[in-house]
Amino acid sequence: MTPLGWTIVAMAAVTFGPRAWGLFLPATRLHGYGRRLVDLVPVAVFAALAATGLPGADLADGTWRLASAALTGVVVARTRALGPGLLAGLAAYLAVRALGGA
Amino acid sequence: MVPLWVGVVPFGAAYAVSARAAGISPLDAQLMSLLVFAGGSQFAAVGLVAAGAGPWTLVTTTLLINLRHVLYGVVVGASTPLSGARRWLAAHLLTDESFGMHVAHGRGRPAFLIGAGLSLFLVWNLATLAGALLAHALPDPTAIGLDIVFPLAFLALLVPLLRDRATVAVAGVAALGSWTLGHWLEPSLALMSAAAAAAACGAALRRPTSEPS
Repeated sequence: MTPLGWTIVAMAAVTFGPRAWGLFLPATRLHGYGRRLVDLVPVAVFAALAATGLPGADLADGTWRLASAALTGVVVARTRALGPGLLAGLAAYLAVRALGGA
Repeated sequence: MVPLWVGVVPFGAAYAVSARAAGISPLDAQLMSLLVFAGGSQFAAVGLVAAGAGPWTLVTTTLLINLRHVLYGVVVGASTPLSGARRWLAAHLLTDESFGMHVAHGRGRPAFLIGAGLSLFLVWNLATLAGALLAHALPDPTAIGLDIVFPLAFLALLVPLLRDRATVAVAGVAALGSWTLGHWLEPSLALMSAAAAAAACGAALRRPTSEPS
């Protein structure tokens, strides 16, 4: 194996550790604050992931990206389905780019 | 899962193309996709290799970027029974995207979690292979606008979870906090810090009577 190969093995170990940590905690039923915290983690993580990836290269691009995100949000809120919302936002953004708006 | 594959394929291929440009062999690029299976840290590793960084820098950066997966493991572990080999496999396959699909559609269903993870693992690795083989013929996905797939996907996963004022407030604080901290911290660290703080404050302020069943 190459030296980089051994580094990749070490990278895999430090990736697996955080992933496994929560999964290997003793199985306990959570109540009260712990339950509320676990329920809110996905909300916070998805919001942070969306916010991190949305800003555009410049003002025009950022505006169209936000508009596409708003379209995705509206479609998902109405249909309660991920696919149509994602495809609507993506199609709108790519169409604007193709027309030279972003 | 199909809409997420639309985003995963070009980025898996782009990762392989950039790895080759950085002087990483196709074998090592594929090894990273198989063993690490974490897009953000794989792209970061390519950049570090290209900049001449040493092994410790690569390993430390990978750890920092993937620390957020601790939060995912806690949520999945609390909602879904996993044991034996399934738990080991689920840990290797736990990514932003598989966690999102699990929360949206697969709580309490170990087979769904592993199936979603395996499908993404297969697509990511096939895209890496294709990228390594077709390195000179593929466009940069960011240059053609496909990088928007991931934030839109996470927004689409978020919207159904916004059930009351508390969840809207937590989402707002996490989004603003992540964006603001991202100016000073490594993006993944900013994301994890903002998300953990927003969820912790939201859980403290939320009245127990408003807990979902």
